[in-house]
Order: sequence, then structure tokens, then C-alpha cells
Amino acid sequence: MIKFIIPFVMLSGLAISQQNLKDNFVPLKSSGTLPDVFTQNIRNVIQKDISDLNKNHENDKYIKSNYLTEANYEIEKIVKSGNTLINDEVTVYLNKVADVILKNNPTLRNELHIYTLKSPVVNAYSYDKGYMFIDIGLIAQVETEAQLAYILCHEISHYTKKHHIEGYVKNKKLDRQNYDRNGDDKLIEKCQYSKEKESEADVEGFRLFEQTDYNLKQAEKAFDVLQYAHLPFELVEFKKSFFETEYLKLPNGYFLKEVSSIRNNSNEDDTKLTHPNTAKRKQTVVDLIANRSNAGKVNALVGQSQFEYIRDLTRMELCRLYLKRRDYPNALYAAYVLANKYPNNQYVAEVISKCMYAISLYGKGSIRYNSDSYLENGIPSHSDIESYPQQLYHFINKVPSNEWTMLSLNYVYRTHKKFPSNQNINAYSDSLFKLVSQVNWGIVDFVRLSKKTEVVTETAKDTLATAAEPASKTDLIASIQKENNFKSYDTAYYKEMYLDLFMNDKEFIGKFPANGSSTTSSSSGFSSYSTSSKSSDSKTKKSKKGEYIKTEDKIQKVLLLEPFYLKIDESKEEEFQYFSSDKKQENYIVTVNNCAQKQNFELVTLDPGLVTSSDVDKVNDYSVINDWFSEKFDADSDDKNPIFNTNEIDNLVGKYGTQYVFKTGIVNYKSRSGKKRTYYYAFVYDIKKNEMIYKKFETFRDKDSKDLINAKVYQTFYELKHKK
Amino acid sequence: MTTKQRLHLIVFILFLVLSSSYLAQSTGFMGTRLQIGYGLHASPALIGSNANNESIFGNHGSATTGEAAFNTIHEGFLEFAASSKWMICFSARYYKTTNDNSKAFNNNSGSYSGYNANQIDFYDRNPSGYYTMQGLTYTLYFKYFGSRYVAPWGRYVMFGPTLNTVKATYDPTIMKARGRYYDQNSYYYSTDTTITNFGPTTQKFKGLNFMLGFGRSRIVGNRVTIDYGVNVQFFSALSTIFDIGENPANLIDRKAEVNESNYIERTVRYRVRGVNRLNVFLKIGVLLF
Repeated sequence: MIKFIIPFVMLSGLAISQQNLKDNFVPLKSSGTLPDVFTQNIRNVIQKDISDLNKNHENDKYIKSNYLTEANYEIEKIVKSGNTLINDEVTVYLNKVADVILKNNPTLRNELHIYTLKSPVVNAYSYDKGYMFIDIGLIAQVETEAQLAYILCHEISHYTKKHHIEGYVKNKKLDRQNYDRNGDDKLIEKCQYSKEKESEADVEGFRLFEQTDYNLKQAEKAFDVLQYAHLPFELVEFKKSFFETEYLKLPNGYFLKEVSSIRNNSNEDDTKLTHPNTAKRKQTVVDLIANRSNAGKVNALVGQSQFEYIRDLTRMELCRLYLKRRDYPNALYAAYVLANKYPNNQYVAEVISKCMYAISLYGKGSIRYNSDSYLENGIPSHSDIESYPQQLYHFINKVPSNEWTMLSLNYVYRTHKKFPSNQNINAYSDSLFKLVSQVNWGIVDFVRLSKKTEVVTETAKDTLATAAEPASKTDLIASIQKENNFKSYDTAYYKEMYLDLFMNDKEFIGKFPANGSSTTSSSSGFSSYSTSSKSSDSKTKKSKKGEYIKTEDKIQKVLLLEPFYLKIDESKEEEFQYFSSDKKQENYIVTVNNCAQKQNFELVTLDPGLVTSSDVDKVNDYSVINDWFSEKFDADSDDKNPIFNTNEIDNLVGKYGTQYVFKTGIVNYKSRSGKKRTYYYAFVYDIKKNEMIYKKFETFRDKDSKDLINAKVYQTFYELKHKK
Repeated sequence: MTTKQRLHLIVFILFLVLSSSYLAQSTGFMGTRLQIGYGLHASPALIGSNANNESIFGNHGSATTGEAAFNTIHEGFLEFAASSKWMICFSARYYKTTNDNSKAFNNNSGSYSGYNANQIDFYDRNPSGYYTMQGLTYTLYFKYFGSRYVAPWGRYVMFGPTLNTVKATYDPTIMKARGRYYDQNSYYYSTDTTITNFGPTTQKFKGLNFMLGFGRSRIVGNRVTIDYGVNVQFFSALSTIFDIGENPANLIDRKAEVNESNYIERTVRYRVRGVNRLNVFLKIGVLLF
């Protein structure tokens, strides 16, 4: 009996661990035991690596030892960045594919550490010591498991051929050369070398790939994926009917008759590129495939359904990543594609609601982009976009901002009714009601001008104009309900947008402003949504040194986020002093804790560098806050841009008992001429209110002495604790 | 300034400090506000001699070797961080030096009063030897730290009133001048004699000044402070141009006549100014609590 029960329970467990994407999606999280890279002492690891290097008879030992230092720190930085997923469904799947590829080479397989990277970029990276990072953006784009497998083979070849370290040595040697060559020549030579290595990885990767039972043709197709990586993961016609209802028909003028074709730049000039152009790479693989039997080869070995499921997970996650960098049109298009497949997925509906709301705010100037932003110049013009997504960009570009707000409210409110328990969608809906009131639109704007109701509405408008006694909300509603019986000659497309809601939905009627001019607008218009609230009467003390302290709050406890320390010495060949920075960082953490302790200031440290192998929750929490800051820092950190990746912020605030996150760090710099500068910064953010409440950034013409650090950190805690 | 006015000024300054203390943010170094310590001030003996009777240039001094010569002042101080920017401090400085008697006095001195007039004619332009001085300077001063610094750590400026006290002592066997007495009544000149009477052998003087300075304070091991910088006494610095003149006392007080009875009184200020004019200092302190 047990023989039957155990497999059943295991299968049930597997079934439970899979997400039901038809209903919802939970963002990807790390799980299980953390790998050694989290807990090991990196200095010891580097020393061992260098010691091993010195035992061998190799050339360029000095450069290679520098490489080992840099590479180890780089790997550690990536793994602990909060963007690397560990033991999540996608990473587990990637490792299964790697198992299939290297089933005949267990030694090599054991050397590999494959992780998923939460990045929308379509790329994969191979580092020394078998570390490989595959971007979410890449997994979302691939069409088959076999394509993914070929890309892994390519990266494995980089590792086995030691391309990373050789490329480093080559570049360093080129940098050292002072003969009469300009920077362009050096760049071309570096790129040429890199291209040779990429071509070698393509060939070697194929040789590894052909040993598997994967469809060889998919290696060729993998280059098509790379070729069109700038396009969304799926090209689906954007239909205006998506936003239309029985009472809303969008004008054709907002849509292009036909979208632009996809430009083919596969043969682009690759002189200054690190990779050969895709046409060349593809041809190499086509030549390799020729005369090879593809019989019995399949597109999926781990499993087709599992591949599709994993890919959909990454596509869902990709929406979040687009939102994180405020790329709302891309997020909207991705969610639109997913909504076609999963029409009842709450997460997808929420993403679309976020995008609609965010674009409304963008139209009102409440979301700003600047040179720090991924979208430096704001939402791109549709003329810069290819194929079907162009239709969406055109729609966003053409719809006047007030109308977009109305359309957003229409979509978001109806989504709220569909998912009434979703607090975020509810919050966006409420914020949009306030935004509507700000733009001086009201119920009166949705009264149609019919022959019989003209008198009524004109009277209402006259009344409004004189502002003597505004038409009552119920009168206006009544007029809308009556006019429904008459044939309208008012052709404004949006007039009937909310008709059914005005007729039947008491909640909607209650929240909708009677008219814009009679509604008292709040300072921001969306204060109901906590992430975008902006207190107009907040008292902020600004000093000439560019620091300020919001004086409203008296802070007793903060969440300390990985203190930062960096030493740069330009007088040395290796400017970045990794070892020294690392040691100083350890001391700095102690100092920060001591200073807090001396003032009975409660400090909770969230630092992926200070975790044990079982602290995966802390790593996930760090990732959540890291995402918050990524979105925050997409523009000026002082900016009030609302933040949308906030679903788990409230949980974290409850878990750690504080909504204040403290970021601090020191950068010590020594110039070639021996000038010393020490930069100290400390910021405290209220992650619930999306406000920076404490800021200190100071420069000292001095070394990073202990008394400087002690004094400044102590002062920071004192100022936080004692409101002035 | 009367004593009452000085008192008002001190009360006003104290009020300012206490006000800023009330609004203080981070006070003291990691909460430690009081420090006590020792300081060493030094300045080159450019014009007058130092306690070893040496000067760098040898002019007006008995030392003509051109050896590097420094004045040194020892200081004990007590400093209290009243706020993140202000410290209120008190110090007592002690120095021992000499006056090299380079100042000339009148060749003729004395008084003519009818038949009792008498006069001394000196052969020497100035007394030989030197007299010793022991100075105690009391300073109530304030340190104001730069915007990025937190008292008692960092760069600061300091200022405050000082009371200079000095005790001058001479040894008649060392400090003397050759001359002869003239008795107008009898038109009699005494035989050449050694004159050793320059007033009481111990004389005390007081004077007010104003200290200004700037410095940098570092802290080792969260307990020991190392403070270095420069300070001047304002009025001493102002008088520099006069003091380096050939006959400074006359430049400052043209009507004043220097004779054997007021010789120390007239010259001691010149020396006190020299010692306190400009000093570099190095202080070591301990943060108490």
C-alpha cells in the first residue's frame, strides 16, 4: 500500500508546488538551502585560488591572480545581489536541462552552478568556476527547451575553454600597451578576440549539443531568438477590443491601419561588437548541422509541458521586471499577451491595471523620467517600435491624457469588480477616481447631448458655470439614466463608457466625482494609494550641504540594508581594492551596530553577506527591498515617482516591525597624485510612504579614519532618534 | 571695558552656547562630551630670546649664534562638547622664559626737583643679563566645528578671552648696568658704579587679550584625542609691526620713557606678546564621559 501512497504523495507535492497560472501568479522566490557562496569567506577562497594558480606553471600569473580576485567578487556580488534566484522552479528546471546535456559527464556537471537572474535582458553569462547566470528575459523568449539547451551548451563551452579568464588577460594586456594606437583600434582588437571566442563557443557548444537527443535544428533557431530579442516574447496583434466594452468603442483614429514591418539587421557591422552578427553565427551552426542526422531528436527532453510552464513563469515574472524599470508599455504588452492565454489570471490583470494607472500618472506629469531612468526620454514614440507592439505605443501616444485616465478607470474599476479582494487593484481604482476629480471631469461630462436631454444638461452646465448651486450628483445620474431612452447625437466615444456602472453600480456612483470643478482635489490625487502618497505639509529641513531630515517622524528602529564600503586607489594598477574594501566593510558593519547600540537604537540587519545556509527567507526579503530600490532609483532618488512593486512591502514592514530602511556606505578614493577623499552617505527611506526621510551625503578631504566613521555614523543615529 | 561689561559679555556668550546646546543633535564623540588633557604650544623665538636665552636671528638678544630656538608653553585644558558644533573650554597655560634685556633705556634717567634732583648717567644702553618670567595664561574659549564635523572630532575654529599673568624676577647679580650718580646740589658725579636696582626683584603683571585659532582634532581608539593647530593672541598679533621696530616700546608708547625703575614693566609686555603671538600646538586629551 505504502508503495502506492508514497508516489502519490510525491506527485501531489509536485502538483502543489506548481503554480496555477490560470488563476494567479506568485513572483519567483528562492528556496531551500543557500549555496556556499553565501556563507564562505571570500578572501579565503581567493587566496586558495591564487595559491592553486601559483602551483601551476602558467603565464601571466599576476593578471590571472587579479582576475581571480575580481571574478570571485563579481560572482559573489551577482549571487548576493537579490536578483539571483536559488532553488526556485526556473532554476531547478535549468539544472534539469543541464543534467540532460551532461548526463555523460558528471564531473563537469558537478562543477557547474546554474542560476536564474531576475533581469529582462535576453542574455546568459558564464563565469569562472562554472558559475552561469541565465536571464529571465532569455528564458521568456526561447521557443523550445532545445533552444535553451543549446544556449546552455554555448555557455558551458565558455567555461570549459576558459574564455572568461583568457579574455580578461587579453584585455589587460591590450590596456597596458602604450604604442601608437588609439582607443578605437584597441576596442576593435578586443572585440575581434571576443568574437573568436564566441564563435569557438558556438562550435564547441554545438558539439556538446549534438551529443544529446535535442533537435539539432533548434540550435539554428536559437539565433533567431537572439536576432529578435528586442521584440516582445511573442508577437500578437494588439486589438482595441481588449479595452472595449458594450458601452465603449474606441475610435479607429487611435489605431494604425497597419504596423511597421520588422527590420532585419542580422548582417549588421559587427566590427565593434563582442559577438559576431547573428547571420554569421547562424550560418556556422547551419554548416555544422548539415549532413548530420536529426532522426529521433526532439524539442524537449525534460518535458514540453514543463518547458511551457516554466517559460510562462518567466513571462509573468518579466512583467514585474518591466514594471521595476518603469517600462510600462512593454509591461502592458507582455501582460496583454499573457491575458490572451490566461484571461482570469489575477496577477496579469493587476499588471495591466498598474500599467494603465502608471501611464495615467505619466500623462499628468506625476511620473518623470530622467537620465537615470531606463527610459531616459519617457515612453518612446510609436515610430521607434516595430511590428504589433507599435499599435499599443501608438494608442498610448495618441490618446489625450484625460481620456487615458478615464479609460484606465474603466478598465481598473471593472478589474476591481472582477477581483474585489485584490487590495492593489482596489487602491489603483480609488486613486484613479481621485485623478479623475483632479482633471475637472465629472459625471456631467458623461451626460449625452440628446435632443430631449439637451435642456437638462445645458441647465446643469449653466448651473455649474455660475457655480451658484451645482447640479446634484443624483440629478446628473438620473439624467444619464433617462437619456438612455433617447437616440444620442453626441458622438464622443467615451460618453457611454460608464453607462452600465452609472445605471447599476452604487459603489461606482458613490466614488465618481459629480464634476471636476466642484470636487476638492487632494494634493497628489492618489493619496489613497500608499506608495504614491505625498504629504503637502511635510516639514523638511534642508541644509546647504544637501542633507535633510524630515522632522515629522521620530525613528527608533530601522532595517539596515547591507552597508557598503569601497576603496579606490588610482595610484595602483588595480584601482579597486577588493580585499581592503571587504575588510573595511566588515568593520563598518560592526561600527554601525555599535553606534546604534550605544544609543539604544534598534537595528535589524538585512544583509545577504551575513546569512547562514538556512536563511533563504532573508535573501528573499532582501530581494523584495532591492526591487523596491531598483524601481526607486530608476529616476532621481528624491523623486516622488510612485512605486508599483510593492505587493510584499507591507508584509516585510510587519515582519521586521519597521517601515524605515537604512542605507549607508563609504567610498574612499585616492587619486594618482595622492589626494584623498572620503565620501559618507546615509539615507533612510520610508518604504511604506515612498519617501526619503533622512539624507546625508558628505565629502571629506581626508582618509577614511576610524574616528571619521564613528563620528558620522553615531551622528546619523542620533539625528534619526532625536527629532530637532 | 569695565568688569561689569566683561561679565555681561561672558554671560551673553554662555547664553549663546547653552542655547545651541539645547538644540544640540549628536553631542560629543559617540556620546562622550568631556575631555581633559595636556597641550604643548611652541613658536620660534624670532625676535626675543627664549628661555635658554637664544633667538633665531640673534637681534636684540644675547644669543647671536643663530641657532633654532623655540618658545614652549605647557597647557592643561578641560573641554566640554555643549552641542554637535560647539565646545566650551577652559585652559591654563604656563611658560617660563627670559627677557634678554635687549631694550635700551635712557642714558640719563632720574628726576630734577629743585635742589634734591638727582640723575643717573648710564654707560650701557641696556642692562646686562636677563630677567626671568613665569607666565600663566587663563583662557575661556569656544570651539566651533565645521559643518561636516562633530565636536570634539574634526576641524574647528576657536576663540575666547584670555588673561595673561606674568611674574618677573631678576637676579641683581646677573641683571645690572654700569653708570654713575649725579647730585645736582653738589654738582657731584659719583664714581662709576654698578647699578642693580630695577625695582622689586619680583614683579607681577596682568593683561587681557583675545585668543583666536583653528585646529583639527582626531580621536584614537574612541578615547584619546589628538588635537593640532595654530592659535594667536589677537592684540599681540596686531602689535607685531611695532614689536619688530628697533625700539618697540617707544613706538607703542612714544611718550613713555624707559628707565631703570620701570624697565621690567616696560619690557615684560613686549616679551609676553612675543611668546603668545603665534603658536602651533599639539594636544593630547582623554575623553572622560
